[in-house]
Amino acid sequence: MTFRRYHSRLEERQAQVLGISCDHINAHRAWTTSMGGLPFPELSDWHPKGKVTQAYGLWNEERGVGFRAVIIVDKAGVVRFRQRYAPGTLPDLEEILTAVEGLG
Amino acid sequence: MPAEAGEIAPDFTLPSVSEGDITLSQYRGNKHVILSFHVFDFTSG
Repeated sequence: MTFRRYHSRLEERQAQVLGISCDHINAHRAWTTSMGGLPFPELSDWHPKGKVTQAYGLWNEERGVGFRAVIIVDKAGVVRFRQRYAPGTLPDLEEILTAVEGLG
Repeated sequence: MPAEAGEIAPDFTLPSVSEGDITLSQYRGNKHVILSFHVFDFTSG
């Protein structure tokens, strides 16, 4: 769990992590429990399925799932960083940390 | 492509596992928000 490891460093930089996936909240609950709990909220974009994921242009129509991606929204509500990741790859947390530091 | 860098992030409200409904704009003026979209698969998040 990459974000869990970086959570305190992101928090120090006044950044709130929100996990989002297109699964039912009960599936999320089972998952977060299996992870021993998470230090940030895990959100369910389930009903209507993938609505928020679609609003962010991250819906994979072919597979009927969302893409893995990280979007950083600054305090003013503006998108400042957007990165999509290929299946099987994980976000580069150092890159994200640097991006957050650049927000001031 | 929606939600490109420099654009206002689409606001939303979604249910969370442990903290009830969360709205993106509740952090406005207070915190940066890192949205981690992931595919649920019981692997690393």
